[in-house]
Amino acid sequence: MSKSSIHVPELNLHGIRVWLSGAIPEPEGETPDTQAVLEAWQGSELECGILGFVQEFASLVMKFGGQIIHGSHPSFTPILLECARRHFRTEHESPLTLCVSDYWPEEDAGERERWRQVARVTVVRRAGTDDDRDASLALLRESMAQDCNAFVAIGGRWWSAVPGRAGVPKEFELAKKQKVPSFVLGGFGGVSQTYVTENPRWLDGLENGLSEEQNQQLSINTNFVLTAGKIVSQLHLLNKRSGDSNTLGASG
Amino acid sequence: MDFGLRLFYAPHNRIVAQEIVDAIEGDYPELPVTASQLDDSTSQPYDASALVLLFDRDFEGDPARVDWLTKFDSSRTTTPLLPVALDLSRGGPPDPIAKLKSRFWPTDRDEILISIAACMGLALRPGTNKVFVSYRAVDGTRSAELVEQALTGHGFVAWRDESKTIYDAPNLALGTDVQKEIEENLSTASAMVLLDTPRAGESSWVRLEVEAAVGKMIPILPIVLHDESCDTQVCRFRTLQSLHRRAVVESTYEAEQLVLPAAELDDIVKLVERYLQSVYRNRVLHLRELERFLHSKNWSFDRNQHLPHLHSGRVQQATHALSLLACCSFEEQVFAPRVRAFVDGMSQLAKLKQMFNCNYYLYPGQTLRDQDLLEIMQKEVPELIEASAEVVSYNEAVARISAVSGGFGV
Repeated sequence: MSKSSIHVPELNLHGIRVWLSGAIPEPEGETPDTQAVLEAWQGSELECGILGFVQEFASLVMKFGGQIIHGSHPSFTPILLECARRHFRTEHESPLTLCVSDYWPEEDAGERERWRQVARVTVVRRAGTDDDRDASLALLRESMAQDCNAFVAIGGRWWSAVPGRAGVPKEFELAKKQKVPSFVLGGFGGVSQTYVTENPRWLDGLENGLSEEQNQQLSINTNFVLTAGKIVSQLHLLNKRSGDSNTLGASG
Repeated sequence: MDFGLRLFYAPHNRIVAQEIVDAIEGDYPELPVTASQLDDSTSQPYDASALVLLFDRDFEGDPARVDWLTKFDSSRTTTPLLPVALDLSRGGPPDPIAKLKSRFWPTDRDEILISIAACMGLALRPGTNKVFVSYRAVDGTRSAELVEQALTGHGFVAWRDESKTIYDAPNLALGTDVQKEIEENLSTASAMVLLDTPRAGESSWVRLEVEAAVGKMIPILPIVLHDESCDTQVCRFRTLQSLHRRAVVESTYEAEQLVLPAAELDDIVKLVERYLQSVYRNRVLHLRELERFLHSKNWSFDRNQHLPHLHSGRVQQATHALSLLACCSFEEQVFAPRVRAFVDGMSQLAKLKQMFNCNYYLYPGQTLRDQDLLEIMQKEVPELIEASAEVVSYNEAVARISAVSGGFGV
């Protein structure tokens, strides 16, 4: 295939390990009987946007040599596994790391074994007591924060019934502590949106090389194709610029 | 099969046919529509993603047309057919397709337009237009039959995909061969209606099938069935639990089968159509956003003046101008006939002395590996290898163009 590499070169994301944080937010209303869903049809733009982004972003990162790290949310995991299957390199160099806490048992026998066919699976030990769900989650998040050198958040559950449980803000704070380039996508709803609209200081510590205005634009973008492409291009440029700095892929 | 809609009409209905085409093009400007007169013997029913047949009370009076329609219906295989009645006095469609539900023009204008876009949503995955109805036999067979009948009656090709009983046990580890079988089944699915009955959630087969379908981004619409003793609102499959697109239907048990009420079936089909319409609409947006994005980078990017199905782009950079030709496909995967048409388009434009630095076939959906793309080209469109062209996903194009344009931009 003839390449036009002089003009529009391919990208290099080797060494970049992106922690992908988020989930599809829970529906606001319940009782979705058929007639009610039809009458109040809003399409499925929200989940199409979030899941579409996950697929497009992950496959692009993987294609150009980067890796995705994710905390095994059920709505994202099958998509990430399919991306990893398509972009699988070698047994020792999977483009996907799925982290799980052994607080949660496998939903299906052999589930993690199936994941291991294409992904690296990191099982993080649960916190001491049997019912310490949140402490086990904190350990899981610490592990992902240690492993990543870039961070992207999209969607995320509000957990309105359990104050303080929403994961995206906690994970973003951990990423900021690591001083890794971070991108928070508020245009696709969920707690990411709440975070950028209600927290005036959300821009602090993003370290992603974009101006405040560019980050504001990114945080309201609702098109997942453009969003995925733009973040990947920025990761490529950061990677290129970083050289031997310790923030991105160059650190390995 | 060519991506687009084909509408058939009798010569005396030419004006109303044009009115319908205008309505379709008004709502879906990117949708290629071909209108063919019924008496045109060269009409081929196969080369479209969906077929619309306009009929009136005179249709059955012409035996030649009835004969044509019989052959037409049997040859359309998996292509959806939407019969549209032009006068209210004519109830159902003509005999050969009497099993199909017809809509009336203009009374059902909105419904017709949604159905058409739904067919396009199905056709985004090339090669098949099947709607899979996934269910577990032990409590879902009867409802699956009803949904299959309802979808078929609306012109779709539905396929019941029953879970294998031997894999119904919960917590049964499924081997690689089973995974392969499920993947193979799904390779022909353009959309899936999941009948989420209480026993379906226990089946390892259905669970794995759902996960595989989610991974492949096959549009899935879960219908959660429950009886009056259990008013669950939540999908029983963890992967789908957070989805907003789902319907919960109270049903009744008949001999261990949880049976959907007949009154719900039409609405379930409407729900499938609404969902598929939004799948199509979202896809079309990608092209518009791509155009906007390139314009924001000071590129020109518009339909080619000679071949409007292709886009010509141009940007003036510091040292040189970059001009590109792009074929912007809507289809999920790299679709060889479209790539071949693109190569032909390049040759035609070359003859007109229109030359481009770069030629891109742009495809939406998951970005493929270079190696896989090369294999597709070698196997299906070897001429592309000789042509100066690249096959690139939409988001890869955005990423690479952003990078070469000096970064993010707003």
